[in-house]
Amino acid sequence: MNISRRDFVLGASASACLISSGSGMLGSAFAQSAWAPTRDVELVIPFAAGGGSDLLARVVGKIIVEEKLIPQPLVLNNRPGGGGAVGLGYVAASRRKDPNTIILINGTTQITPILNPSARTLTEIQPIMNFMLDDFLLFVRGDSKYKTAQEMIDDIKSKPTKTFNFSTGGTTDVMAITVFSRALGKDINPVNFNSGGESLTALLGGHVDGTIGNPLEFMGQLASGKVRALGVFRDTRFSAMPDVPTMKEIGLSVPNFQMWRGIAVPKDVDPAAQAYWEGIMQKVAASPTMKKYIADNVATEAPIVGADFVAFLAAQEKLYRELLAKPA
Amino acid sequence: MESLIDLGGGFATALTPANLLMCFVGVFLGQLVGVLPGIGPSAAIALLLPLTFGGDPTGSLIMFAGIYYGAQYGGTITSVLISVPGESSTVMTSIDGYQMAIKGRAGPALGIAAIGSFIAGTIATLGLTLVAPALAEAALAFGPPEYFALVVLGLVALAAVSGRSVLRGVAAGVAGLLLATIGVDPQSGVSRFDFGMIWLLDGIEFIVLTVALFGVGEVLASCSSATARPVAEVKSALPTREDWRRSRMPILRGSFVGFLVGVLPGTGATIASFIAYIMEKKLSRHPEEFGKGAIEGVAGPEASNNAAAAGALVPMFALGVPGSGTTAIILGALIMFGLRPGPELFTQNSTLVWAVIASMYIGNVLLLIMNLPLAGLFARLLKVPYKWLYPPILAICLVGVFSQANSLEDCWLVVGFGALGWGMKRFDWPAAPMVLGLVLGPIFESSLRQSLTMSHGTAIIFFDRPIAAALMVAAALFLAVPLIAGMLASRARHASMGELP
Amino acid sequence: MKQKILTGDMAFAGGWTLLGLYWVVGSLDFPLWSGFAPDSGFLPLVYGALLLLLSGGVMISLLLADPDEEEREPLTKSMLVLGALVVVVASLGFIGFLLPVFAMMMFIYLYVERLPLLRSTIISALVTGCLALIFVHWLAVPLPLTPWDF
Repeated sequence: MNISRRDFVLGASASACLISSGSGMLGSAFAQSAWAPTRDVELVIPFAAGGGSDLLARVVGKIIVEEKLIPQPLVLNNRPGGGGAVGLGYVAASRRKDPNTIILINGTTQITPILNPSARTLTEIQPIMNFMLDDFLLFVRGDSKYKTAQEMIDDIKSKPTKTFNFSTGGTTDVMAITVFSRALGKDINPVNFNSGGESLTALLGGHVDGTIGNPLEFMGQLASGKVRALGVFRDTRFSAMPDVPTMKEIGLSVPNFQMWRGIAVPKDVDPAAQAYWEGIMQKVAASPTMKKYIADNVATEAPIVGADFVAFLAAQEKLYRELLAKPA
Repeated sequence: MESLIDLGGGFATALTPANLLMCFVGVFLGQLVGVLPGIGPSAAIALLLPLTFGGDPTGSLIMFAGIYYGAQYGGTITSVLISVPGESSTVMTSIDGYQMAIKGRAGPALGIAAIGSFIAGTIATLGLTLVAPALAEAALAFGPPEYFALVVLGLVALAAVSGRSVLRGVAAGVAGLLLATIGVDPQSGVSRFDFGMIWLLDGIEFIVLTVALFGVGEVLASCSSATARPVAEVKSALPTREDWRRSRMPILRGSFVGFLVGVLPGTGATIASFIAYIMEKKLSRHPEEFGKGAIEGVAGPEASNNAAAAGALVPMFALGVPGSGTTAIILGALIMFGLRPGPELFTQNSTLVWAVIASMYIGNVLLLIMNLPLAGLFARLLKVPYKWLYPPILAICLVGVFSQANSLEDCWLVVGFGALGWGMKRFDWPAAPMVLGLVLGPIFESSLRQSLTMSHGTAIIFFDRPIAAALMVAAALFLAVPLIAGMLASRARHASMGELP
Repeated sequence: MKQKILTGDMAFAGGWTLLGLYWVVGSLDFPLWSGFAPDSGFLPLVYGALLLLLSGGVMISLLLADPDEEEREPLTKSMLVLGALVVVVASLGFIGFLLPVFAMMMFIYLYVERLPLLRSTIISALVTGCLALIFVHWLAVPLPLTPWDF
């Protein structure tokens, strides 16, 4: 590696830098399986640079390089487009047997082919490991008349159907609202925005009555009281928000609804390489950097490996299809 | 004047050698990615993010902000010199800026763009210093109906960027709106008009269309006359006093409009530059010069896109909501550094926020110092005969567009739309309305559908909310005044003809 | 009259009309209205119909206008350059980008513009090298340089 090149960019390229720090660090992860990467490893990110899943991929990449988990350089490759469909299609079509390719996958990559039959499904790749689950919370504006979820639920139940406007920041939020309104037995009127940020902005501006969304964007607002969290759609409370009850504590029987994020390899990779990547990814999940990342995102750690992950995804697929009213 | 004291503290932090270096690196990289078509500030920041983990958040944020506003300076250069917009927000600059370059006035165009950007960047940073929290609250009043009314106003203005054939201009604008419907419909999740291709699920990227229509289209249209085309004579490297007199007001107006548009979450530098261009054309005493090298058409949009870049930081710092795609990534960076973006950022992390704001004053000065000598230098590039120049332009367009999404299909789009752009030039169809249609299309559709969902189906929502109603009235006036004026003029003509024997 | 119908102007406007028609037909595959608000098919239908009408209007205005005697620039050179672009993009995915981009520039310089060999070679090589350096090396764009890069 030459110094002048690195100085110039100061990392105008992450991957260039990852290459330089990764090369030459041979050894370390060999012992556990017969296979090891034979050339540069390509981490495909099926989303544009800068989003939540892109950040996760970059954290994974950083851990792999810094803890010298693989004996070859790692190159990040963003293949954005079509809710993950382009990146998935790239791996499924032109990297089908290549054990030196790994790809980031998440709930969106599972939902896209349900809505758009032309997109490739997760059956065309081999899931390796899930890292985390993104949670959903019920939010209202800070000055809302609803102090508790119970007050809001009572009001929703007493008014005609679809009276309440909730902002959403994407298909997953719409699905969460569907889960919620089924439990209530009353339809909520979803106003769809393009991102969690826009959904939050609409709530802050008082253009909608409430929202269900991932806590990440809302944490700063919660601290200042601009936004109030009324309920959690998972079994346990968050340590960051000990006062916010779960829906089950309120007495509403809502099934858990969470979005997963993990890693996969191409479909026809041989078992030795799959086992190798399962080992590496478990080390990544155990790293303090990953734990800190998940905690910062107010998400749930959920290491699910190999066959368990495949089974988990099949169950999710069924749930999503049912929520989107698109039976297989 | 509490904020001025805070700002003083900010300067103390921003002027430390380490932060000054980060500021310089940021604006330099911003300038660089701005010049390269395809790669934009958001990609650059995302690529740098992992390298700054664990580093000093203040320095890193100073650098990210520098990349963001620096890119607005850099995008101008290719727009003016070779008609390839380096950033989407410099499309409007390539209309009159390129015409100025052909006439040998690339130096003044680049010079006035640099000066205008500097003034606008500084005014907008001042706005960020003084009125950020209040303004951010006001911006929240903009809900879907207000955005819809704003876009209606923009679409009515389509005719203003249509050049001499209004019918073709409006048709091209509608074609842009129509192309915007390609891909996944964000409201329902189903894909439309994707021709069965998964790479079209995200629709046609704005920068691909602009590089194709303005860059490749221009080359295809003018390579026939390349040999005959006289080499542009670079007269003066810097703007003349006359240039400055004509640009003064456009720069000021562009700064204010750009800042306000930038503050609105969901609109950004691109829309701000469109609005500034249309406004300058409407207010100008010689609108016929627009499209043929009017310096106002460079000064206004350039000031506007820089002011918008600073304006977009207002909702980010004051409320913790992203004002544009790039600020969304900067917000992500804040989280990575363990900060909580939100209304308390200004109080809890005031040192960091004020250091970043102070660094923006410094960065704008650095960019001005960097760009004024560069203007003359770059302008000399046009002394190279066009026949030597255009093959490299094509190569840059192709590689730049590929790097935007690492997609070979986008290269095909560039060639296809390049051929279309050539046809549009040849048969006198203006390209700018088509680009405007593609930008406004998604906001138009989603705000219409969001508003009607919110109102449970009645269109009254566009008229019983004061801001929406005011914008709708403005749009109606925009449409009606020229028509009525035209009718009056023709009646007067008829009357005077009637008086003749 | 017949000559007027066969001009490029007319064909170009006709192309837009067809695009509008395609969108009108295509939009009917989607629901037009659902619940309170327009659904996926509504605006494509409106845009398609508008484009159909407006470009139809352009065609009519061309028919009515006085014959345009404006001299058009010859097509040959532009067609050659366009052809070169198509060949370059077609080969990008197979043999990397260094060779096609270099060859395109050489083709234009030598065959289309008839410029001197030495200067053409130097400039083409320089530009290709700079692009490789900036985009592939510094910005790490995963653009294959050469066939053996795959």
